[in-house]
Amino acid sequence: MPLDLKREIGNHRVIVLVIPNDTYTECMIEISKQLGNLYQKICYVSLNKLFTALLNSFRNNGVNVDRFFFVDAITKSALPGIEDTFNCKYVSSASALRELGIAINNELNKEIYRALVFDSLSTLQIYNKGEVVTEFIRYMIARIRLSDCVAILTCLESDTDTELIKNLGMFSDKVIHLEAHVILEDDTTIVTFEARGSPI
Amino acid sequence: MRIYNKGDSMYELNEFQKDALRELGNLGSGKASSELSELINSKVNLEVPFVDLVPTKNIPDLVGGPKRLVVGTYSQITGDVMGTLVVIFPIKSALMLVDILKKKPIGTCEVLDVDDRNRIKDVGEILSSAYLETFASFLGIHATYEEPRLVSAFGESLPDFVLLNIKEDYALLLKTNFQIPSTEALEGNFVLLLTAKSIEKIIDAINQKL
Repeated sequence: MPLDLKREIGNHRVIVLVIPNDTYTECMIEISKQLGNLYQKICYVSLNKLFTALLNSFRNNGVNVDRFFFVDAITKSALPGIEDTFNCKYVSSASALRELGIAINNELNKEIYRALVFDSLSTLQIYNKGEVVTEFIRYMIARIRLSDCVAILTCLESDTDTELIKNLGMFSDKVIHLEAHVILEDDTTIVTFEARGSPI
Repeated sequence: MRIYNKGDSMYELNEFQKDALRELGNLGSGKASSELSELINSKVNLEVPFVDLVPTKNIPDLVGGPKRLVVGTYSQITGDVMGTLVVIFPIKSALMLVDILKKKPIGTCEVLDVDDRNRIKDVGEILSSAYLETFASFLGIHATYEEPRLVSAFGESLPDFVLLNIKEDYALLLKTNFQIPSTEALEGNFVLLLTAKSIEKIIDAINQKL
C-alpha cells in the first residue's frame, strides 16, 4: 500500500523515517508533498540540499512551498554572505548545533507550526559524536513536544546501525522504514513508497 | 561536437580543441592527484577525465554524485575565467583520509571535529590549487580561487554546488574521479565548471597553443 503519512502519523508526535539511500531525494519530495497537503504551516530543517535547489525541486514536483518555512544549515557553508529571506533562515553549517538549535527554537516560538521535518539526522553525525547529537535531538524532541507540532526526523537507511539512530528509538513514538518501488514506464521513472513500521 | 550560444554567434569545439581540453583535464587532475599522492604517501589512480562543453541543464546527470553523504570543498574561480571547483569525498573516504593524514589506523576517525575539518579543507585547497595552477599555466591565463569552504551534503546535491556560480545555458565541464588503491575504497572527485564567457578565453588560449 502506498505511503499514507496521515495514517502513519496518527496520534504520534515524533516519528523517525528511515529512508532508502537510492531514493532519498524522491522520498523527501513525497513526504513534503503529503505534509504540504496535511498541514497549514511546516518548518523544514534542511541539512542536505542548497535552499534554492531544494525550493525549485519542491516547486517542480508539486509541493505546496507556500506552507513551508526553511531553516537551512547548508547553503551558508558555500555562500557565507547569503541573507535570510521571508521563507528561509540560514544557519552557518550542520556542525553548528547550538546555532541550529536556537534557530529552530526561535522559529517554533515565532509561528504556530503543525509539522517539523528534520532532513536529516544522518548529516549531523558527520561532525558530532553520537552522544552529542543524541543530546541535541533529545532537546529538540522535548521542545517539539511542548508545541502542537508533529516532528518527522529522517535518516538514511545506511545509518541505521549507528548508536544515534538506535537510541532514537527510545525517544521517538514510532520508527517507520520506507521501502521504495521504482517503476520504469517508457522514459518516465515513477517511485512510490511503502511504510514498514519496525523497530530500529 | 557541442555548440553554445554567445550573443548572436555560435561556437563549436573542433577535435583539436577538444583534445587540448582533454589534455588540460589530464594535466590538472594529474598534478592534483600527484599532490594528493605525496600527502598520503600512496598511489592515486585517476579515471580518464570527462571534458566537454555541456548544457547546464545536463550537469545534474553528468556530475551525478553518490547516493550517500559526501564532504569536501567548494571554491569559486575568478580571474580570466569564472566558475566553480569542487573536491568531494564520500563521508567514509573523508574519515579514512583524515586517519591517513594523522597516521592513525583506518577506522579511528568517526566524526570530523574542527581539526579534521581543517585537514579536509587543506586537502581541498592543495588539490584545487594544483588543478587550477596547472590549468592556468598551460593556457597562459590568470585564474585564482577563493579560499575553499568545507561543505557536506547528500551526494545527489553535488551538482547544485557546482552550478552555484553559473548562470549561463552552457558551461565547460571537467570532471575526474580518483581512487586510492592501497586503502579500502578511498575515492573522490574533482569537478571544475567554467562559465560560457570563460570558454571564449580558453578557446582563444588553446588556439594560440595549436
